[in-house]
Parts: sequence; C-alpha cells; structure tokens
Amino acid sequence: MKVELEVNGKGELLELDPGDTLLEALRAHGHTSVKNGCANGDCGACAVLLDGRAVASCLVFAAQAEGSEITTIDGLAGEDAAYHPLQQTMLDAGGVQCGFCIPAMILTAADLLARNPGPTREEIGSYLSGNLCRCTGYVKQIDAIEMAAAIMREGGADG
Amino acid sequence: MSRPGITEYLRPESLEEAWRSIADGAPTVRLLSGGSDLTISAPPEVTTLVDLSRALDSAVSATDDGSIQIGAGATLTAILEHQPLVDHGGGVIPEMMVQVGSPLLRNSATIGGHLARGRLSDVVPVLIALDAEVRIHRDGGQTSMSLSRYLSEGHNTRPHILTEVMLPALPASSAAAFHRQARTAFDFPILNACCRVDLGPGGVDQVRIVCGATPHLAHRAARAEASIESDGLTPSAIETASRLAGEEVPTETGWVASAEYRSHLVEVLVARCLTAVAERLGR
Repeated sequence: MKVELEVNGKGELLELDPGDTLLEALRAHGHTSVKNGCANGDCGACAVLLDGRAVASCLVFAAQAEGSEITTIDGLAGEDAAYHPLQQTMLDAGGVQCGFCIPAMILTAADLLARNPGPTREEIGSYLSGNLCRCTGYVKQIDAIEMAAAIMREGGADG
Repeated sequence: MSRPGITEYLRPESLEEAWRSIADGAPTVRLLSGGSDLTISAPPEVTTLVDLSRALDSAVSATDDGSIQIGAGATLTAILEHQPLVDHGGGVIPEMMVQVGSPLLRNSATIGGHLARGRLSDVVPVLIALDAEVRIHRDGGQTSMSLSRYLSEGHNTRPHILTEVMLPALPASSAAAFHRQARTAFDFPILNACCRVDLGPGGVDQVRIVCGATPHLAHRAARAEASIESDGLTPSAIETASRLAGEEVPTETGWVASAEYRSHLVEVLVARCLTAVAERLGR
C-alpha cells in the first residue's frame, strides 16, 4: 500500500506493507536517524514527532500516519540554524556518549518544551521516562534540556 | 516489529462502516485505535486492520453539571492534559495517568483501545471508582453501560466498537486517591487500588474501593466500602476497612507475585488510598 505523509516538511509517498510500523517504514525510506532499539515500545530510541507529539514509532503502524507530519532529528533545526538549542546544549553539557538514544531523547524534550517552556528537573525526568540511556545517569541530559529551555524562553529558537 | 501476516488495512469513515468489517466476529479482523498494543502483540491469525481514527470521536468535553465525556479516540495524554479531568475527583486521574507507561506511549495509546483490550490496567480501577460508563456501537445501534459491567460481562470480548467514556458529576465534597505497586515505574502493576469517598450532610455518603491487577482487572471491596460508610474516615475505621479489603478481594499467584503478597498489598494500598482521601477531605 502507499501512504502519503510529510517528513521534515517534505511530502513523501511511502510504499509499505500494511503491517509495517512507522519505525520500519521511515528507516526503509532513508530516515535512519530514527533508531531501532527494542522495537517493542520499551526503549524509546525510535521516537519521532507525529503531528508535534513524541511517539515511539515502533508502536504505530505506518499506515496510521497517513496525512500526518513527522519530524525526525534531521528536521528539528530550522533551515537557517546549524543546530536546534536542544542539540547544541546536549553537546555543550556533555549529554552525548554513544549517541544512540539522543535523537529520540531530544525529540521527546522538544515535545515537552513546546507545552511546558519552564519544566522543573523532576518534570524533565518524568517526561524522559520512556527514553532509556544505558551510557549515562541522565544528569547531563537533564542539564542540557534545562539550558535549552532557558535559551528558548529568551527567544533563541522557536523550538 | 512488522506483522507480515497483515495484508489489508481499512480506514472506515463511519462507525457503521467499521461495524460491517467486524460484525461477523472473524478472528482475522482487528479494530485498530492507537496501535500501541497491536503493533507488538497482534495475534498471528490477524490479516486485516480496521483503523478507527476517522470513525471515532477523540474530543474530551465537560458539561456545566460537572460530567465529562471522553471520545474513545482520545489519547491518554489528551486525558492527562484536559483540565476538568485533571481536577475531577480531587486529582486522581493525573495521579494515576502519569504512572501509565511513558509519555511516548500515552501520546499514541487511546482510552478506547486501552479499555477494549481488557487487561493489565491502572486506568480501569480508577474509572470504576469514578462510576464511569461506556457507550458501545453494536448491531447498528448504541448502548451504554457501566465500565464495570462492560468488563465483567465480557462485552469487550464480543464484536463491538467502544465509542465513548462518560464520567458522571461528583459531589462537591468528594475525593479519590490511587496507589500502585510495581517492580519499577515502567512495569505493569503487581497490584493497584483506587478509593473514592463522597461526603454528605451526615458524614460519609458513598464509598468506592476498587483493587486491580489482582491479577484480574478490578474488584470492588463491598464489605470494606460498607465499613467506611458506617464508621467514617477515622484512622481506626481505615484500618478495619483495609483489613476487610485484604480479606475479601480475591487474589491469585502469578509470575510477578504470590496471592499472599497481593492480599497484603490490597491491605496496604487501600489504607494508603483511604488515608490520602481523608487528608484531601480535611478529615
């Protein structure tokens, strides 16, 4: 079957099987920044923004995304910016180690900051509860999200 | 993971059209709402998915009398972010909902899909304690019933489409609380409990004590409820009611816990819930 959707602002027509997940369809069509971790809804490494909300793309059939807007980490920064504040502060705060979980973690944080521009550390930790990182203790990643929130509140990016 | 056995994907525009796809009860056809369950546990015999997103209402609305209507297509996040639902029962819904999975799951899972699947739930005991009703579409018509009846009589296992969840208004002096026990925050519960108490002019008017994951979905502790209704919300009455609940709620041994441990948890969690309710009601 064919599914028409927008990925990072560009229309795409995905050829897929009705039983394919969004994770599989995106990766098969070149969007390999969407990581395949557990494919079981546990690790969160496959998170994308689906119409602005972070979802585990392994828990959504690709056909469900017909007509939707998908944002992967590649589409987070505006065209005029090298990095989104969340990407830059993740680097600045040393939140990235192996990096496998980071695209999804940043997208989940983007969803949070779009609704709560000034989250507490506890709220950030709670919102990241579905994004597992086996390298770090989350401290630097939460630092990075706090820093990004402050930059975005000052108008550094529209998020 | 991909489900290669699924060869057909339907997007009905109406409930009637969706109903025609499932009316004969063929095990090869499954209704699809949020997808978080079927993507990982679709039975191997399923060949056709019927996507309900165009046929179901996903709006959440509150009426002036304090009742709330939740379209079955509403995500768990939409429920968590709807202010009247956040305030309903003294905040018991967000207290429970933030412990269900993670934001990534709640952003896609729908309330209709969650209730219709009828297993492993923190949501069900809370909704039953709040006297939730459900509306279902079946045989070309709509019918309403309590959520408790919907699950206990197995309506969720027969061909139907769950279209709406309704919460009746609560009295001004009403509060509820929820507690769960699990190995980790992300795990399914070993046991959960929700208690609600309504106060009237003469004291305690109405009580709901519901335990779930026993491992069954939900069981009301009628003797414990009657005990609070008669003796009030004093510390000794809470202790008595919790003990009664521990005795009367049937529990079973499963791979995560023994029946004895679950019965102990019933007593502990009911006591915690009732104590929290007493505090919220200023008792």
